[in-house]
Amino acid sequence: MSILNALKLRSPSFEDLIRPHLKGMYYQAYRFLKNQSDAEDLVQDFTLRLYKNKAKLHEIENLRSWLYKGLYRQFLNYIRDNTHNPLNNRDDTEDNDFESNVHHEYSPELLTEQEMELSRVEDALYKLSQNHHHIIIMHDIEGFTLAEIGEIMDTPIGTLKSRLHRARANLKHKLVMEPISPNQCVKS
Amino acid sequence: MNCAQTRQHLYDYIDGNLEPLQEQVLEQHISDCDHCKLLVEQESRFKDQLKSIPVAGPSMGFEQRVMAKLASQKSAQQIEQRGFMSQTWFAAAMGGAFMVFVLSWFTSFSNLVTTTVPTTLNAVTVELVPNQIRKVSLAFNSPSMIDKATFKIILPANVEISGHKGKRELQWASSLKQGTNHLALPLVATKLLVNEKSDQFITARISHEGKSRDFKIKVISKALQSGIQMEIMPIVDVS
Repeated sequence: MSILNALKLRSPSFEDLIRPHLKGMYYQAYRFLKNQSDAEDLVQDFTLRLYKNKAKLHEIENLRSWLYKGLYRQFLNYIRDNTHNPLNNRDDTEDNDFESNVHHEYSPELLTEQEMELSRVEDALYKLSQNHHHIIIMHDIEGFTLAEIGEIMDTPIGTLKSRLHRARANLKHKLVMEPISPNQCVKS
Repeated sequence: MNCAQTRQHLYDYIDGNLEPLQEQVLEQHISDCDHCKLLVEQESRFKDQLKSIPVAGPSMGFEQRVMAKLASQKSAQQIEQRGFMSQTWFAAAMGGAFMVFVLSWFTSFSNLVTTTVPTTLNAVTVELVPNQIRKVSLAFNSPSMIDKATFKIILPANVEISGHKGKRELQWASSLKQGTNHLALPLVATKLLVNEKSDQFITARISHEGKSRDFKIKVISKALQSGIQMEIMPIVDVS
């Protein structure tokens, strides 16, 4: 058998499968943790844990989504176990997913009046409740569909849809309501 | 479609979740309504802004560090597995005489390229005295890591692995690391193998993902006064 044919027959190793996803997982972890070192540790711990169940990897069709879900679980455990983590000190009172609770309506004109620099958007994003923050990351930033997020978060699509709607409304609310920094005032 | 309906389906439109017909109707409204057009543009821009939030990349060498840590964990697991095997067999081997023969078999099992057998190892011999243990250490040199390989040892009549009395076959799962992998076989002959009608072999079979390779150790019985002489010949048999 030629080496070429042999290579075709060789199934990918754990390393072959995981290596292309390492950076993507890091960015996912960073978006949740907003800390380089913590994000790297989370991905490393997750990868080492995954190796113990490496046989599963060959059976997964949508590996990106599957890894995302696993890393998300690891992240949830991480923040649960780190009670002093600032990510645990969020205000979750806005977490209700019922559509009737959507009370923030903003006109497009109002938003354009604000200088929405990326840092402000980022700050506002991290001030959202955990669920709202996460769904915006997964849907609007990472580009997962609601069906995929339903798998990742173990939540019905209908609930996610209303949660996404509320999350976006809350994010805009924070951007509109929060004062612009003194530097920004000087510039304008 | 009116403005209220457009607002209702705004995110579905931006997210690309509308049916083609709905999308067409909404786009028709947008083209006629400056307010809704502005709304769509702004929401799209806002979504783009979210995607543009800067993310600090990983530190230099992050991937290499994870891979190195992984390799280190794998190695620790292999040592643990080998340790378990060796412990069992070594303990059994302590009861008798102890001799190590290192064979260097170059296998390329995972990608099945041509096997190289060093000519100097074609006729390594070991003498087994009945009811005394000789430990034969086989070295498999693998060019790459092989996960979850199955090892099977098939023994001829009257040859056993110490601690596994009466068993003609032994099987277990293990991994081959990249490089040299040692397998210790504490062999014991239960009686003199004299005047056998046909050649006898000890077969070491390694299987992985539906493929297997046999390494056969030819046992040639000689009518020695003190025991059995085995001639070990690695025979390549890719099946």
